Amino acid sequence: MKKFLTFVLIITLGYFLTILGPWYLIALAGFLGGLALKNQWIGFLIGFLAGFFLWVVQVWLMTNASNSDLPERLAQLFGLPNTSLLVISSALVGGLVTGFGAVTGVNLIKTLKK
Amino acid sequence: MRYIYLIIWSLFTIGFCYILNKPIGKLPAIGKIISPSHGFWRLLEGDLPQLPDEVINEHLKDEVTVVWDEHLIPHIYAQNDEDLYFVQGYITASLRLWQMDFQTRAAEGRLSELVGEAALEYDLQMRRKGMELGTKKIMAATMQVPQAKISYEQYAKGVNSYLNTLKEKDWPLEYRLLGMQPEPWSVFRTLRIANFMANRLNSRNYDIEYSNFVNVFSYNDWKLLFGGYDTGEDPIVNAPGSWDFKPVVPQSVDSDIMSAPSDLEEVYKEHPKNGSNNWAVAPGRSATRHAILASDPHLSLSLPPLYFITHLKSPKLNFIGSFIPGVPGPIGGFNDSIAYGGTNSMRDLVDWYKVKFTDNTKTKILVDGKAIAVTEKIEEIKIKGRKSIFDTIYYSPFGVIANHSKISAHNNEHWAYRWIGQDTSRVAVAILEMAQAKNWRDFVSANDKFNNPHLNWAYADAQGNIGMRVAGTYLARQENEGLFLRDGTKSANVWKKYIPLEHTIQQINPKRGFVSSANQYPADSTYPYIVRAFGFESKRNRRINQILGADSSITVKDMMQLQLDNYNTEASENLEYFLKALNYNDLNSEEQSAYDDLSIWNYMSNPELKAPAYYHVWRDAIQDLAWDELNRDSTIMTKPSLYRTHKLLKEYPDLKWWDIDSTAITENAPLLIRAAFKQMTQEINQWQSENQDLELNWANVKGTQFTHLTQIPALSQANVFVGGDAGIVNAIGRDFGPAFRIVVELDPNGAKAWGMLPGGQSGNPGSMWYTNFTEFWAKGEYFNLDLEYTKDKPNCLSVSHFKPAKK
Repeated sequence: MKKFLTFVLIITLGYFLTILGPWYLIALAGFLGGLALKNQWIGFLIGFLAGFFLWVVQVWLMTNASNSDLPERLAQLFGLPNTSLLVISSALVGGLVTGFGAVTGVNLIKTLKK
Repeated sequence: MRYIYLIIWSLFTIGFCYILNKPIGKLPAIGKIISPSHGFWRLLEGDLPQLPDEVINEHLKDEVTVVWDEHLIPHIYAQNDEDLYFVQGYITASLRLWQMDFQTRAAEGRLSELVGEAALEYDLQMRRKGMELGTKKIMAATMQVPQAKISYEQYAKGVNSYLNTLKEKDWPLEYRLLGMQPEPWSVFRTLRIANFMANRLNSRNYDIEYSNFVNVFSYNDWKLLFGGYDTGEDPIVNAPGSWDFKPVVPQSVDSDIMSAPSDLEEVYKEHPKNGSNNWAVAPGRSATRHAILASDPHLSLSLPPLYFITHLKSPKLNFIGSFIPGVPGPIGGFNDSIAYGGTNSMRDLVDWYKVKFTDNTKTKILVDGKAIAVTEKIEEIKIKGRKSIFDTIYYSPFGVIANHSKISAHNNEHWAYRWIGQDTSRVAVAILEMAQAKNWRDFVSANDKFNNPHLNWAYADAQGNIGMRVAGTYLARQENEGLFLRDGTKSANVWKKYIPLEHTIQQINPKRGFVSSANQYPADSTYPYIVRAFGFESKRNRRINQILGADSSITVKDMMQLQLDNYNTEASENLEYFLKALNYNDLNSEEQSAYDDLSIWNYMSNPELKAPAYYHVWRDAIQDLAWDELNRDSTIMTKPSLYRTHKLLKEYPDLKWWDIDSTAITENAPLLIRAAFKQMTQEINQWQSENQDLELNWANVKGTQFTHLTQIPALSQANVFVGGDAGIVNAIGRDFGPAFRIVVELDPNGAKAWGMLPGGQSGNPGSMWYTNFTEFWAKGEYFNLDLEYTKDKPNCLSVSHFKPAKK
C-alpha cells in the first residue's frame, strides 16, 4: 500500500512540478517519493514506473487531442520507425530520470537514519 | 559509507538531467523536446489552433477584433492604423515567429551561429553583398515618412508583445531543434527582410561566366550563344513609337573584356528559374464586363511558405493579400477599388569591378589615377562550436570590395561587387501606400516608390481600368555594359546615370484589352534604352497572350485555368524536330515505347503522363551534351538558354558545339539529339530502378517538394503530385513554383477574389494548418477571399479580442 501511495505521490508531484518549473523537476518528484521508501531497488522501480506512466499518459492525451502528423515527422527525425517507439523512448527518459531521483531520495533517508 | 552512495546518486541524477537539458553536438536538448510538459507534444494542435483569445496591451488605443476564417486567414478589424499594424505583428508572430526570426538572421549572415561552419560560406556572402549597407539606407528613407515610421514601429511592438507572452516551453519547435533563442523584433529586422527579398529577385548575374567564356572562346562565339535577345516579339509593353522622350545618355568607358582569375567563384546567385505571371483583362474582354486580375508569383517552395495571407481593415484600408511574415505591407492583393500583383523584371542590376588598391594597407583605391579612400568594415561571424571568424570588407564607389580568401588578389587588385540592393529604396513606404490606393493615379504615385526590388506590376480597378508598370530604379546602360567584368579604375564606370521615373515603361488600357507579364523583355524595340538581363523568359508570355487574345468573354474560371495551364510551349516548338533526328527502326523496344509516347503527346505537361518526363529529361540531356565544352573545373561558365540552344540546333546543324567531346566521332545536331535520346532512356531506367515503388510519370520524376527552411527532411513535404514546369504557365518545378495564386474580379459592388497558397497558414509543424493547403494547391483549387468576412459566417474558426490596457 505504501509503495502504491508513493507511486501515486510521485505522479502527482511530477505532474504539478513540471507544469510550474522545468521538465527535470520530475527527478525532484522521484526524489521526494524516494524519501518514503527503504530499498533503493524498489525505489528505482517505483520511480521509474511512475515517471514512465506519467509521460506515457500525458503524451497519449496530447496526441489523441490532435490530428497533426508531427509525431511521425519527429519519429523520422530521430530515426525511429514509428510513433509508438517515439512515445516509449520519451517515456523511458522520463522513467529513468524519475527512477534516479527516487534512488537518491532513498539514499538520503538511509543516510539520515543511520 | 552510505553518504558516498548518496553523493554518487545525487551527482548522477543531476548530471543526467543536465545532459538532457543541453544540446550536445548536433543533437538538440532531448529533455526540452520530448518531455510532455515542455517538449514538442505541447505544440500538437487539434481542429482549432492555439490562437489568442483575449489580449490586453498598453500599445493599443482602441479595441481590435481578429476573425479567423476556416482557412486560418486572420481578418483584422481595427479602428485606426496604429492598432491595425500592432495586431498584425502580434498575430503574424503567433503563427510564423520562427520563420521571421530565422529569415532575418539569414539576411544578416548569422546562420553559422546556429548550425556551425556549414553555413560559413553563406554568411560570408551575405555580409560581402553589402546587405547591411542597403538596409540602413532603406531604414533612413522609411523613417522620414511619419506614417510609415509609426506603422513599422507598431508592427514591431506587436511582434514583441507576442514574444513577451511566450515561455521557453512555448517556443516554436525549430528553436529547440536548432538550440536557438528568439530575438526581439525591430523595424530594422523588417527592412532586413525587404532587402533579403531584393537579393532573391535582382542579384542574378553572369558577369564572371560571360567573361570567362569570352576569354576561353571568343566574343563572336559569345554573340552567337548569349548576345542579343531570345525573343523580343512579344514584350510586356508593345507600343512602338510611343516613347516620346529624350533618353539619358550613359557614359561608361569599359575597355576590353577582362579575364576573371581562375578561382573567382560563382557567388551570390539566386534560383535561376524563379519567375512569375500576372495579367489583367479589361471589361471589354471579360464575361461580366468587370476588369479581372490574376497574379501568381513563383519563388522557392518552402515550409513554412513564403507568404502569409492577411486581411487588414481600418478606416483607411480594407485589403487582402500576400504578406511576407515580418513585413507589414503586402506584396500583392486587392482592396475594394484596385488589385495588383508583380513579376520579376529580371534586369541586370549587378556588376563586378576590378579595383586596384594603392598599396597593401588597403585604405585607398586608384580611380582615374587618383587615390580615393574606401571605408573598412570588419564583420564578426560567430560560429557554433568554434571561435569567431573576422572578415574585412571595404565600401567603395564600385560597391563592396571583399577579401575573398578564395579569390586571387594580385598586385593589390581586388574585386568589387556592386548590387542595386546596396542603394536606398522606398519600398517600405510603397507597400503601405499601394495597399491604400483607390485608382491608377494613387497607384502610380505609390508604385513609383517601389524602386527596389524590380517588378512588373499588373493593375486593375473597379472603374474598369487595367495597367502595367515596369517599376524600379534602372541604370541607363550602353550596349553590353555590365554583362562582363568591369574596369573599376575609371570614375566614368561608377553607377550614376539612371533612367528617370518619367521614362518608366508603363501602359494603361491598351487597345488589345489586356496587359500581361511573365518575366519577358519589357518593351518593344523602339524603347530608347538598352535593356539587358541574364535570361528573359520567352515562352510563358506568348502562351498567356495567345490565350487572352483569343477570348473576348473571359471568366474568372478561365483565369484560374490559365494559371494552371500545363501547355508546354517549348515542346510544341521543338519535339517534332527532335523526333525527326531519330530513326525508329534503330531504336530498341524501350526506346520505341518512349518514342511512341512522345509522338502522340499533346504537349500538356500533366502530372500523370509519361511523355513530359521523357521530354524533360531528353531536353536536359541535349542541353548537357550540347554544351559539354563549357564544363570546366577551374573556369565557371554558363550555358545558353534553352530557347537559344534549340534555335541554334535548327538553324545551324553543323556548329562546332554539337560535337560531343567524349566520343570519337564528330556529331552534328541530329546525332547529338540521338545521343541525348539514348542518355534519356538510360536516365529514366536508372530512375525506375531507384524508385521502384513509384509509377513512372511526370510528377514523380520531377518530384516537387516543399523543403523546410532548416532543410530537415522530416519537416518538409516530398513528392507533391503536380504537373507544369519552368517555361510553362503553371511553372512548378522541383523546388519552385507559385508561392501564391490570386484571381480578383473588380466588381464595382464589391471585389470578389480567390486565392491559394502552397503549404498552409501556420508555421507550426504540429498544426494541421501547416500543410493543409498543399493538396488543394496541387489540384488547382482556390478558396474565397472575402473583404466583408465576419464572425457570423458559418465556418468562422475563432475570434481574438485585442483591448487597450486601462490607464
